[in-house]
Amino acid sequence: MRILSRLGTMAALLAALLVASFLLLHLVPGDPAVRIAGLNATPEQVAAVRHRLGLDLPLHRQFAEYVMDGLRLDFGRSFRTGEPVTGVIGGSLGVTLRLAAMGITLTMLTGVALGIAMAALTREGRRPGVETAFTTGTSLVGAVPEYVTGAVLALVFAVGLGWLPVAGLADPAGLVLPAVAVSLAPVCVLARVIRVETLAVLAHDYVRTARAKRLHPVIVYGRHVLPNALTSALTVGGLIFAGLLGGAVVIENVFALPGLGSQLVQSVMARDYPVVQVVIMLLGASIVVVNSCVDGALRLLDPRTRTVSS
Amino acid sequence: MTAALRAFRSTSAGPVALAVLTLLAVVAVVAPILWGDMATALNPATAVLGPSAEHWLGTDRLGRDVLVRTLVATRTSLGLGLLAAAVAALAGLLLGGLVAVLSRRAREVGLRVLDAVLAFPAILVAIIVTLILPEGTASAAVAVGVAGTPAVARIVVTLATAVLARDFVAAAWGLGVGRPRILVRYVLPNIADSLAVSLSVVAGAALVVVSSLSFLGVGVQPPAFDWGGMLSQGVMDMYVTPLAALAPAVMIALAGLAFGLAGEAMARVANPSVWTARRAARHPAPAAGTRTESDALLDVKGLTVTAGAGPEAPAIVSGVDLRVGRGDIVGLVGESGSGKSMTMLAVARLLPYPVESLADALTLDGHDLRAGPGERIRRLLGTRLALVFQNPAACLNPSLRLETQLTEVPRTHQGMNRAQARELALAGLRQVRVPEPERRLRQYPHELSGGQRQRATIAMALAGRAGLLLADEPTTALDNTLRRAVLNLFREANAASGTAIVLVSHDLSVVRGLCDRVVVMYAGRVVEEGPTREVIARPLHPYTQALVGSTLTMTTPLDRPLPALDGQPPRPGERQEGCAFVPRCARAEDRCAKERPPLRAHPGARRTACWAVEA
Repeated sequence: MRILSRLGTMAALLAALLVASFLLLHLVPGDPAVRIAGLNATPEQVAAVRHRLGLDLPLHRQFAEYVMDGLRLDFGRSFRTGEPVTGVIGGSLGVTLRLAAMGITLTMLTGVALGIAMAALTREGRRPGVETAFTTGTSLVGAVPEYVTGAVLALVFAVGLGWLPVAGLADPAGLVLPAVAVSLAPVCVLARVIRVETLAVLAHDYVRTARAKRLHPVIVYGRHVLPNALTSALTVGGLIFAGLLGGAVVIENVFALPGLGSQLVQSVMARDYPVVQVVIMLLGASIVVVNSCVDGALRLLDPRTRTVSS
Repeated sequence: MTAALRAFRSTSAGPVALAVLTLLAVVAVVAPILWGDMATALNPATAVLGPSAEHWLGTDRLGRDVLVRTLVATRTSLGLGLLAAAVAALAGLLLGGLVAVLSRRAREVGLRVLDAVLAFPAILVAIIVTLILPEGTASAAVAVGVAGTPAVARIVVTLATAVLARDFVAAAWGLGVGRPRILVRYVLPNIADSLAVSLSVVAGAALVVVSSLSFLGVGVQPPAFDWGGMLSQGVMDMYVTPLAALAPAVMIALAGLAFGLAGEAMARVANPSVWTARRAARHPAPAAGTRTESDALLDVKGLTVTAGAGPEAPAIVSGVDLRVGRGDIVGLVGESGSGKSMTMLAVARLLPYPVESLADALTLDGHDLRAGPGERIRRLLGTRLALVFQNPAACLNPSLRLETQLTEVPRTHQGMNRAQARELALAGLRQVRVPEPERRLRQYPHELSGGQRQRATIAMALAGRAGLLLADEPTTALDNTLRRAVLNLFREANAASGTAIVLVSHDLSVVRGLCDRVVVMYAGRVVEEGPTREVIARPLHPYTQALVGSTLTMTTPLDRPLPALDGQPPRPGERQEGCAFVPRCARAEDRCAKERPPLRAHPGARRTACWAVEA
């Protein structure tokens, strides 16, 4: 029942996304057919464009065609190049997902580890100096936008030290700097959340009990604290993924990566609506799917929300 | 200057953020007037130069001074950020206010829609919105404002819903005041403070997003320029003139940060209690003592527990002696704040930071516990000492199966394998009469009833076959039936395996039912001890007398007012020279206030610390 309602929500969100991306073309000021045909086009040419794009049909017919074409993976042709949109988008989805996956992995591992370590160091108000340094440091670094981080990282590690490629995907290591750039701020946010959450878990009686059992600190933190702090890590992680995707859009342009973000920006600047529509659908769908997966994972992780057969 | 402003400046981030924002505002006003022409004047002769006396930060590829351009761009960048924030604030307030005054059902739907939109990164929404808007510099700011609207609306709904639930708003509803009027007259003034804080943070974010748009080329269009646009130009020449990229990057980070910090500082002023960091000094651990021999299972001599270390630290427990023989059941009684729990935690070496303890002797089974947290001490405490805390059910970890929790002590400290430890856990559960023990081991704590959790916790404490069980108010949170069951379990463990028990309680009736010996504490010191039966039948110390007198029994006459002890025990640090009980004692003499009575022996293996009691 719960799974069904989750799936229902997910379907509703995807449908809303579909409608929104469809309406985009119609919200644009002016006549899209005129824009596509060009300002110097004759009325006949404009009419031809309108007919070719189906813009002369009533709105509901247009939407039905949009959906049917979408189901056949036929997203029309790019206004810019005349190529099929599927070909234009091509590998860029993979680039962006790879960047986002690297970013989120890096974020979750570093953020959770840093947060728990800091909680262990500063529990019950120990080491106030460390606490101040940590909160100040993370709020400073966390406030720096990713493209600034990216530019600085490129400056230091690619231009200055020459350790990593500055741009492009010719070298697989080319994804390292972009991934670090998109994760730096999220790591700070996550580490702060995890520290506070871990401090709350540490104050529970069951942790005192675990300490009273004289378990090794690694077991106390790994077995008794981590699973209880992980719930919020996942919740925040889901939000961070969406943010990472947004960051990826920008960072791809810093490092000249041929991903969805670069594609989106180029298409927006060229008013290439069919490509924009597909990019919106793809990015939006990944966020919806990831969030639904996080919801599901949360249920699996927390035994209290899981029904156990007796 | 108002008090709020003073508080704002006194927080650490406040003055810095305020200074930076003021500086930025001045630059935004002045720079375009002074250097506006210079910033746009093309000069191919000076293109792409490094830093020099003439151009401190070098020049860009069209020969324009980077520093001057960075300063002049402040107006556009700040202005667009603020415009975006204003759009978001206005639209968000309207949208949020609308959702907040909807009926409950409609509000739920509205919130879900808002949350769904919020899942999409603002930068993506902003990029797409620029498509719909006519091209132009202000469009970028409006797009960012539109993208930020759901976030502001969400904040407004949350804040407004809290206000709408208050009585005075309910009264206004009842009087038939219309929704718009309620929003403007009742809700808005009450959320203005918190909203201002959020808006400062929103402004910072908006500035960064507008710069991002310009950086990507969909924001401010040349010849107009802002920091984001300069950064994207600078990045292209990064190998030659890195400063051309760095200067606008630093400005974006600085401005974004200043708005964020200002918001945070404002939040601290608005809600100081949440933000006040706990400050406590760090003190060294007490030095490890030498090994002492003792025939008692637990032998504590001269235990002092202080809140912090050093001679100035207030004492919570002073000079407590406690001897527990094998198989003994000892009650530790006193009001809350008497130091009984701290005594117990000091024995278990589980004192919370920054509480410290010192003792002349502290041995468990002949081993000195005062040595640092070494492997040997850990194993010793793990095998010989078990603890049950107040509300035992909270001692079970909600995300672990019972089997894990019940087997980890034997597996860690007694080297048992999984099957052996499981057998032991099963036996333990059977001993405390938990039904279907095999099934319970596979379950999580929430699947057990309250009583079963209670029993399981005790089984867990007893699983390691510890010689000494320390129980801190184990029955306080329980109802009467459970209380009796728990006490019975303790009694059985004591009879079956000779487990010694120290029961910490403020409740004499619990102690009477279980303990052979009772130790009464007052203000961090032992004031009386002896066999439970005698102490309760014939208390010597005036405090014990008051304690016994205030306990309700079947024979308490109900037609007279119940006896109660007036006043409060002194807090740690407020204790003076003489007997701490003097202010509440009916039998206090001059001597009591000046000289502290020592713990003196009395017939019948009893001891008490009172001048009024004849030795």
